[in-house]
Amino acid sequence: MNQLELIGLVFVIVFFGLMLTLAILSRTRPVRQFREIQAFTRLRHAVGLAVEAGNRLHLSIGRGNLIGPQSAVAFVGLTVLDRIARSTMVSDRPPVVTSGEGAISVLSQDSLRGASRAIGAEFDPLRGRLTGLTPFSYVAGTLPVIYDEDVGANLFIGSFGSELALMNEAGERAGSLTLAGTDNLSGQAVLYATAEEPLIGEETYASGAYLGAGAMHIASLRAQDISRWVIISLILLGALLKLIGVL
Amino acid sequence: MGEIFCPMCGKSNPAESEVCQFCQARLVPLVFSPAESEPPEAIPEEMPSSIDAAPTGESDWLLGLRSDEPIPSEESLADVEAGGLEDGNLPSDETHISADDVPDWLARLPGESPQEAEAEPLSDWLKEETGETEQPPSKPVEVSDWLSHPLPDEGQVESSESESELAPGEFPSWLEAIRPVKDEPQTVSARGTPERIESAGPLAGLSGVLPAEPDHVRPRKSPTYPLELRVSANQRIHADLLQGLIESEGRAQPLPQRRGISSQHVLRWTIACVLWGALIWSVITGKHEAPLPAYTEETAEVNRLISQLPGEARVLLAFDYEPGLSAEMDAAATAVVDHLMLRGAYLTLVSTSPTGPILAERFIMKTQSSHHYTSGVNYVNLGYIPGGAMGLLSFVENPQRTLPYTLDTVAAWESEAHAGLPALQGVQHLNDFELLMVIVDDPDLARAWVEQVQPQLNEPDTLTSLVMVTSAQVEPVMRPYFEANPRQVHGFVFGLRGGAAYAQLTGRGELPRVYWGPYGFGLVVAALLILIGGLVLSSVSLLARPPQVKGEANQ
Amino acid sequence: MKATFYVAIAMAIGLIVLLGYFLHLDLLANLRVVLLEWAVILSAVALLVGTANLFYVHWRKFTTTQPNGFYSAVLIISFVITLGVVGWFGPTHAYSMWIFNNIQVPIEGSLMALLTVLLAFAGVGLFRRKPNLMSIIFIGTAVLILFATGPLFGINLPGISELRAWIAQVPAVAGARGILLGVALGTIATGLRVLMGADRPYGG
Repeated sequence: MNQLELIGLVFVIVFFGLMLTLAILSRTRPVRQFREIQAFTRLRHAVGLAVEAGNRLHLSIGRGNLIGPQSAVAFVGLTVLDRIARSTMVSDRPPVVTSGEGAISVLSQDSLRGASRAIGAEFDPLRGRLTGLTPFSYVAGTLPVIYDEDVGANLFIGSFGSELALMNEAGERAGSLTLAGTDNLSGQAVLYATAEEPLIGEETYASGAYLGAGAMHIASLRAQDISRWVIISLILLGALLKLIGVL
Repeated sequence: MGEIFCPMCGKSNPAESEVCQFCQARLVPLVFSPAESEPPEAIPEEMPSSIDAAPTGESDWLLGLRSDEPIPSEESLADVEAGGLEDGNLPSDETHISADDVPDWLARLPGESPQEAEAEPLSDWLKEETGETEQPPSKPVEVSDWLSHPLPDEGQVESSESESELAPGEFPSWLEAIRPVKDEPQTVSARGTPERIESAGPLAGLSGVLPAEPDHVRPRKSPTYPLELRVSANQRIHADLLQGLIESEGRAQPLPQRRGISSQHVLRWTIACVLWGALIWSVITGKHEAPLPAYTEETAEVNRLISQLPGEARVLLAFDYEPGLSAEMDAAATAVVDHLMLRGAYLTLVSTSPTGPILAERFIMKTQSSHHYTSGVNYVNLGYIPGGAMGLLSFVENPQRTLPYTLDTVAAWESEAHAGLPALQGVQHLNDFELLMVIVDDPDLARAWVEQVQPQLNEPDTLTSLVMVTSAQVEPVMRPYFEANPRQVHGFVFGLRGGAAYAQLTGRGELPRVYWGPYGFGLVVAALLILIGGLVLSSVSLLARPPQVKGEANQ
Repeated sequence: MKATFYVAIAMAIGLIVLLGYFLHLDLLANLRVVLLEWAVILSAVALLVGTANLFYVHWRKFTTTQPNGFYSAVLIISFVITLGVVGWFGPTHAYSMWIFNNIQVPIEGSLMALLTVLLAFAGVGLFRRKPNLMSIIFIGTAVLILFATGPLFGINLPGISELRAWIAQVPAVAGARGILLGVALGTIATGLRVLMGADRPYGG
């Protein structure tokens, strides 16, 4: 094991320990509230409105595969799907999920099936779809869902590139709320300019904690906050040492 | 049939009733029997605490007037006088008094007239409730007939009906004795307030006497309030809104028609026409030829590495971009791949994208047709590596096992059974290639290549270099890999600008030259559109915003 | 019971792959290679499953006469033709290349061109929708890079190329690094949650 691998392993173990510790502590001590993210506030309203107004929620989980770095943001999208599916399956128009990767589409159907089973509703496998295998074909297949299926709110949480602008624009033209978050830098750049409620950087990864997905989500978010400050301190310290000639 | 008006509530009762059927007040005064009364021996200084022990020598009428409750003290009597009798002090109904002994003062007790009730001012708390600071002038209200006539003299009614029973009362001598003279001045109570002096009846002239009919039980007309509701302007607006909402309930509302052409549509079309018009005009007329840009260090490194390749070098070429960005990527990579082919390199094509292998074939046919490269001879297309980064890792660790065949299902690698294709002869591992070139448009994919490939390339005695031809959007992410020490990527060509610079270096590559002029013109037009359009739109929206009404702002 | 079994499998395999990456033990390395190969195969199979799902969705849309079912019919027909041609003649045959060169590439290129217009439109309206300092910086930087990247009608403004290079190499790289660090932390957290079984996007 070389030096870099050792540092990586230590970091992973420390992070894991931090998450566990924070999760255990949160049971005994009250958890400090996180800062408000407007996107999640509007998402909660949109979910309630979708059930009452008979609109549909559309969740798109992107095109990141499950065996690459984009799998993490795809899992976040699946967590969001699980949270909102249980709330909106009872409505006249259950949510529809689109994705640009085969394994993600299978998992999205699985999540919808579980939510349906939990509330005793009938499961329609067509609610979870693969709409295209390339970025633009994925967008081309998703646009009809936004325009034609009476969507009240669009949630784009996954790995998207700059093609995300086309979906945001479609949502705006259809008069539905668009909330988007991606791990891709190009995607985030177009998000800022086109989405109503963009999630920039790691705000996407905070979705589970803000939607009440469990204590471990909150603990992991707090661990991320702590780790971020540690990394910032190390970077500043390293830059300073480099500046004064020590490093 | 005659009727009696109750002195307490003012309601009409049958004449023969002794008690009001509404408020249970006595209609017939108590009758005092003169034979039973005895002249008092003396006025006791202290009133007895209980009437159960009747003082000796007291008149029967007085006994009869007493209730079963303890007789209140002087102070409480004064309080009661001020506030009126409480119910507990009312005489018992069982006490019988002969009709002859009804004193005149009792018979003459008047009821309060409606006019007096109307004239009485409102209490402060009532004024607050009604929101009025002044008593509004009461409207002349229609008064019932029974109320418009003054209450009949009860003494007259009672005397007429019970004339046979009642006799004019005679004051006992002791009462006569304590009655003050009329001219005596008004006394003042211990509180300093002028005391009420009884003006009629046997107790005429006495002060501090409990009124026979306390103020609070006198029938009076309830104060009238103006019937007109005062509504403020804001309340009127809210009421109208509520009324509108209720009226519209149940009525099907027509859905708002979506305007076919809105200002947003017009703006989009305008931007599209300006951009596309500028580019098409530039391409057709060819008037915007511009000098190619100067090369940068990372581009020069690519040129140096390719120039130093031996003849018939084995080069791994990854086509990892999407068809949508093929215009930019083809223009960026043309001059570079052309340089490779000029050096006579054998190319092995792979891709982690499903459309990559086809794009590679298209690239070779469209942009490098002059070199007459033949599949299976000069280059081999191994096809698609499934599994993303994991598939890439698998290919890096064992390329023969991951992609054993070409796109045309021909065994590609050298083995005991097969000689292997020329492009892969002598190649067993990744670091057997002289150069790895990745043509990629996505920053995450570019990083995945670097992260998976670098461990292999870092092994000792490895001379394989890694270079990348990327889209312009990848530059901020990948530049640190070039600037790192040691370098993880040995050279870059970033976007059309890099491709044009490379064409400037090699003096070859038609595609970037053709695109460079219109590309630059399009960039300038886009920049001007954003700048001017943004300023105009922002100014228009600022000017069109209605000024805030102060009242609304305060609300 | 089922859920516990799935979680146990996920945790075990995740741990083996993770430890196999850091610890260079033969057993772990061999296991890791096998598991990764299985993952690659499953990923390819999932691609086929997703394609079948795509076909089925549009078949249902067409046969149940839902709105815009005509476009679903076009997709089904195109799917069948392409599958037939490429499957019969091979992916590098002239017919297969014709479909790719004359249908897929132009369509995707057109969508990319449409994206250009949309981004220009979004840039024009950005300050109106979000009137704050960040929007001004965003638009200003975009305009500067656009001016400095192209030839600018042959005019060589002094310092503009250097400014563009500085923006691309310093603040842009720094911002990208910062965002990537945050994304990496989020990725680690998500991965560990799945490893611990706290996040179960599988098994319903």
